[in-house]
Amino acid sequence: MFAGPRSLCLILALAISGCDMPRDVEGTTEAIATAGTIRIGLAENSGKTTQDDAQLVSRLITRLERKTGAHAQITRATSEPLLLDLEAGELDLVIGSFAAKTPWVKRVSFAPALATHPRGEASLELKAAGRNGENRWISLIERESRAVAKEAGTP
Amino acid sequence: MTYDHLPQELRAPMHRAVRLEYWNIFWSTSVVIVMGLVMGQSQAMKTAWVEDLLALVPPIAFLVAARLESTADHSPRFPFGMRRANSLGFFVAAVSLFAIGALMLFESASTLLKQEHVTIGTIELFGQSIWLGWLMLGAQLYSLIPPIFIGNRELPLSNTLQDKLLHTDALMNKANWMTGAAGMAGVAGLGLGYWWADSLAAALISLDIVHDGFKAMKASSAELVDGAPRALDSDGIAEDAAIAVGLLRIAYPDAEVRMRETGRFIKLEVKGARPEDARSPLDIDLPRPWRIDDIAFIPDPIPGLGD
Repeated sequence: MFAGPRSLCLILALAISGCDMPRDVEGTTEAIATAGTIRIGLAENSGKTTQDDAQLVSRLITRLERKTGAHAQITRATSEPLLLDLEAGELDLVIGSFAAKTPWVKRVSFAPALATHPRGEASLELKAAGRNGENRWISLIERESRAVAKEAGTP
Repeated sequence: MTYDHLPQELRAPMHRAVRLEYWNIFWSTSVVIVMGLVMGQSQAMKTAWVEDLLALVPPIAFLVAARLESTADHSPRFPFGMRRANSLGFFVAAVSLFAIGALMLFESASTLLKQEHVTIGTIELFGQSIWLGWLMLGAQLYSLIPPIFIGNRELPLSNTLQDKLLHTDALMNKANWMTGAAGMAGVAGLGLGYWWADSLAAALISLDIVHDGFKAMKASSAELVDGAPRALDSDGIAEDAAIAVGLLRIAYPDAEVRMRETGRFIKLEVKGARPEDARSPLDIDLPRPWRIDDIAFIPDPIPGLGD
């Protein structure tokens, strides 16, 4: 009954050690490198975007461009259509202000917030979202978001 | 805890089994903490965590049953003592095992059907962004080790003690390390870009756990409703019980011979005969003679109490 755990662990260890992880399920990182463009959706915020927020978004995009060697191709719209496009793989990244407890958290992957704005008992977070399962691309977005937030002194 | 209520040959194994279960709880709790710290949003990791949590049920049930068995004296409220506490614990452990398998099967099948792509992001540790998958793999690897060692030690003890609760815990430990291995394969598969890897691995393994759990549930239910004693690892009749009943039927061919299990012990009834009615000498020689708790003779119908 307990035969085989050692061999199983060995196979797993060999498989894992020889691999470059994580990779994307749908290959977003490679597609960006091949196409030379990052398809970014910027969620319009009814004119309430502050100067500071715009600078943070710009810094994040610049960092991602530098890391991937690709240029940003920006689409502006309201957040829902952009998130649907992201989910369908029509966009690589969506940046905007989202409720800290947005129900989209199950359908897309949000990176750490670049800035947080309290709204009564709730709060709005300026943050980037990637497509679920694109683990290499999401790891990059998260790393760069943390770096931008750190530079800006976001707690 | 003393084990004076047990036959001499079972006292030392029982002491070892109790000590082993305390270790089991200690290591299982450490696994629950480690897995809880790194589970993130991964459904597979959450399932594995719930499974690790449920894995605490059989050792706790075993220790509670062992204490009840050892401390509860026969009393007017419990005239037969607490020997069946073990049977109840066996049922609880069997249901937990089945629940784990069913939970895993549901979660993995649902992920496969919905084609959900699980995200494993990064975590900041000591100023560095580290892919959470590496921590999950480490935690899963750690979670494999205690159940392999503990399960391997429980199996021979459960056989010596004829303890189905302990045997079910060994199955639980098997389920644990198999789930851990499936979780590792799943996280590694996700890391390599195969979204279906962990759900498929989990679904296949959960089928085996559901099968073990169902088998244990059947045997434990049989014990609770006075079914004939079942074998330790199957739903078949226990060999020693079958031998004892066979010998009694030869000795008392006109009587009805019945048997049931009370924890690790077997109770036999010969209905319609007295001990001195034996047609041949009654010499029940079993590999584990202590298993026969008592043989009750019910000579004739008692007037006013039906047959």
